[in-house]
Amino acid sequence: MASPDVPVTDQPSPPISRSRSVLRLAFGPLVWLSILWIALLVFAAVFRDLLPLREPDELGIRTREVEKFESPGWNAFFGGDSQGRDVFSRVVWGARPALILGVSATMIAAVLGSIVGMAAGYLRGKVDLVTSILVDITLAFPVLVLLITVRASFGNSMLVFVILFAVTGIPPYARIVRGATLSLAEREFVDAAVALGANRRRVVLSELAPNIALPVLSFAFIGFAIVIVAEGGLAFIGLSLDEITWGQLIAAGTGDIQDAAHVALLPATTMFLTILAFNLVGDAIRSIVAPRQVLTQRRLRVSDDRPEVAPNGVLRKETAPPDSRNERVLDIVNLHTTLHTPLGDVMAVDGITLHVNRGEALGIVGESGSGKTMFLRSIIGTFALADVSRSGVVSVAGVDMLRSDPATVRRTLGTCIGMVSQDPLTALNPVRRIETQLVEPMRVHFALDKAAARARAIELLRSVGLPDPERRLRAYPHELSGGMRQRVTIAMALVNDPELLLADEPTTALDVTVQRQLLELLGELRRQRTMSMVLVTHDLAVVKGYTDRVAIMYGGRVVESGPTNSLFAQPRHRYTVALMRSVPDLSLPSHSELEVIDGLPPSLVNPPPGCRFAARCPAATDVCRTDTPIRQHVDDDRWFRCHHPVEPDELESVPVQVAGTSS
Amino acid sequence: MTDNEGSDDVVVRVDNLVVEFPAGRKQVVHAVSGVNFELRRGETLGLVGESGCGKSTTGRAIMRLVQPTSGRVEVDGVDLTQLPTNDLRRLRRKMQMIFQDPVSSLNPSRRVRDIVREGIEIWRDDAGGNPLNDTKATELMAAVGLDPAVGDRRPHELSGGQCQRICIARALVVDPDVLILDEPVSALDVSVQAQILNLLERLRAQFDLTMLFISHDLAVVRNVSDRVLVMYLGRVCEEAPTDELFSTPKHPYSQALLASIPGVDPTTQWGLGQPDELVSGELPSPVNPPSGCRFRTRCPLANDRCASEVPRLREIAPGHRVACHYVD
Repeated sequence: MASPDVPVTDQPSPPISRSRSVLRLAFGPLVWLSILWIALLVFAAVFRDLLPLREPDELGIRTREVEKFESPGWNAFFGGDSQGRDVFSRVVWGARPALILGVSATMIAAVLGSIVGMAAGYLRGKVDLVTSILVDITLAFPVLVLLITVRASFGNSMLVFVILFAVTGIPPYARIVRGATLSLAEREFVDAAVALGANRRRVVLSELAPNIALPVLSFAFIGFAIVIVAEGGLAFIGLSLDEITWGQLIAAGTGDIQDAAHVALLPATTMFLTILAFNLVGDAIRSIVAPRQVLTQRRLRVSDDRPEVAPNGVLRKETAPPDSRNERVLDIVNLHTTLHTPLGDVMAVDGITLHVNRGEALGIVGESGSGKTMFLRSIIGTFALADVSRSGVVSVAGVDMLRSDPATVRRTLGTCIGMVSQDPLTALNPVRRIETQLVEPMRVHFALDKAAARARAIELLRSVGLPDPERRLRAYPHELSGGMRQRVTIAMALVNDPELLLADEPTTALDVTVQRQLLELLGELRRQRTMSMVLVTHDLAVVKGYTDRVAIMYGGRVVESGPTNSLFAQPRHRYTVALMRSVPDLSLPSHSELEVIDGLPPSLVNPPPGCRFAARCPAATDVCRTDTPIRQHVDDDRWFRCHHPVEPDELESVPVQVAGTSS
Repeated sequence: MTDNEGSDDVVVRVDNLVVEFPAGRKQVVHAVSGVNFELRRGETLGLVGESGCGKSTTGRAIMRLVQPTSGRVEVDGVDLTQLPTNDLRRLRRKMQMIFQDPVSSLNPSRRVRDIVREGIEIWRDDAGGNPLNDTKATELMAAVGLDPAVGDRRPHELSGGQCQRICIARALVVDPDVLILDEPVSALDVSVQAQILNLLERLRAQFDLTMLFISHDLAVVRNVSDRVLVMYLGRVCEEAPTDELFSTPKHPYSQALLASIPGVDPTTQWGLGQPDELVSGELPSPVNPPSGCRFRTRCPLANDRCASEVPRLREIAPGHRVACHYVD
């Protein structure tokens, strides 16, 4: 059963070909060096007989003999070992067994493990149960004991080693693939294939396998490195192949480490670099699968250009008389928020000037990609990833949130602002009781004793309409319904008695009957506490009944703003009107054609000049594509940015309606 | 509304459908508990209800993507709940499903063209005599409004609206009679939602489709459906022609649902009370549903009879059925 309205996913496609740029990101210089190193190893392994090297087991054949423990020099570049053999030649010789063992054991383990894992993950039931038990047993089995036994009975040939490493390598692959298959099999594209008539073989081969290939390949590179390490470890206790391997070279060289460190150091370095190279390449492959992991850079910057002049050209001081300033809980002037991403700079918030008075509710309406969530985040200054710069003024209860010292900003966030997000489960800690999550912060912030804090928690829960609060305190978040959880997060947001409540799609994940209850609750709490609220939503109808003023966002800008009633009664911006008309109307008969906004929302990476809505606007002319429209005021509090606004007489022909009721 | 009410025109008949899932500790989730309805050729039947009411499970059970616990699902007179795999595959082709999350509905590692062609690939060598050819895919990409250049892209490069168009094209490739749409526009922006709804309406006429439209959004269901079925906690509360349901909702839950639509004043619209007078509390757990009428724990009219006796779905006007003891 689907939750009614999961986050809206319609995002403008990035302008740069994503696959190519992701490849460029994942494959930095270190990865290319690693690939080069692996290529060198392969070359050495294949052509070792043709290379101009001394025979590894014989003494100087081509030039004069290598002395015992000869130091690196012109005679032997990396010196000689205890028997006067060329260390370099022996290390090169070791590449072949390393690759044969690593590649064949890894490939066999990866293929068999994937088959087992996919069978378990896709067929589930008994197959899954049996494989899980087998995998657990294998993982618990002492591999070393197995190895000693096998080696004792079957010798130390390459074949025995490949089989041994392959068999012990299967369980990890089976586990990874099983997990991946389980989550893939729940995705709807698998259901869609089944609905089309695909049989099991087809589902596995063309739906599941291609999505599993890359993660398995990534793990295989790391698995190869593990095999190399394991061989080295075995060589140390004298259980290796009957060939020259790096492990044996290291083991042999360690005895003389003090007199001739180079003998052990060269094979050890080679092994180290090989393991590093395979791991780096494996990680790079994984970052293709999950490109977001590449964006680890985190920086928050504030530009210094403090705007004296609002974008409409009016001096800021004149638009806001000093006495009304105090009444402004939130005051934002010409805020720009730019996300610096590898795909380019995203102009998420592009020059927003807004304010919220004490006790007032401001609705921010926009579709996905309009920048409405980024606008909220710009107020509190937390961004999930990347390099962000902000400019302009964000003032909360008179505190400059961009330029004050971190302690002041933190204190303002803690005492003046409460947050309610769309998904209450992300706001609540799943393994702690409601009591802990509510009471602990009160004890820390207000130095209340446990009983007093608990009493206050119960009072808060009662005020948000949670039935039986004493009992609910003992509950874990998963024991509550979605509506009750959201009530708890609202209670948590109220702990510090905030002046400003920021609510980001607070009812989007909830059912209509519960949605209405919560919106009523938010309104009531706001009146009781003279609290201000910013309500961010994609749903015009939610804003209509529950806010005093509205700002309509599109493409990172506010395109129209004003008192809710007057804006809905007489929208001026073409986007606002189009948005209102595209909502299905309850009073129209079935199968009525809906008015649509053609095209897609604009990309905020290098957006074109002019009005952001121009590309989709039926009234757009050349000026819309070149000049950004400035604010046109209907009165002090009611304005829009449009070169060709909707005239009142135009609206009369088609009344604008929101969810059934004519405005 | 459909004017053909004859039983011959029933494409899908759902008869006492029950779907239960194990919930651990010997408990059972009663997802769907005895649902009956018919889907008539050419109509769009809206299936509304809040999360947890069993509407999606009903849709999936009709496709046998979940195995019904009991009951029958007849498609053109054939019961598919007991059909062997190969016959089931063949029968499923008559019905296709569109899911809520368009991005998750598309295999991320395949190109759009191959995704749309998937049905053709599967049925290319159909010995049973209805193979498909490649031009169909091109035709359908055009029919759903996709630029042919999109064919070379992968799903993650496209917007949600475009992905949903691809899903629709993929479903229509195999010439289905019935389309089961599970919240097809809920994940889309309002402006894109209208595009997809208009597209579905056009395709319905073009391809003679019968639709089961599952949604929590009443305004959307109002727009697309000929008849509407309201579900609550695994049972049908009310079934009525769309205009009738939206003008005179009879079941207390239907009334509460309509009154809760944001932006609507239930007093002027239906002469009803405010939502908090019509419904209280939240959905009980489907693991432990209330006895008798399942809505009784939240219903202002409930009394002892509601707790002891399950209300039958009774016809109160032609085509209008209600399961409530207090509706006449």
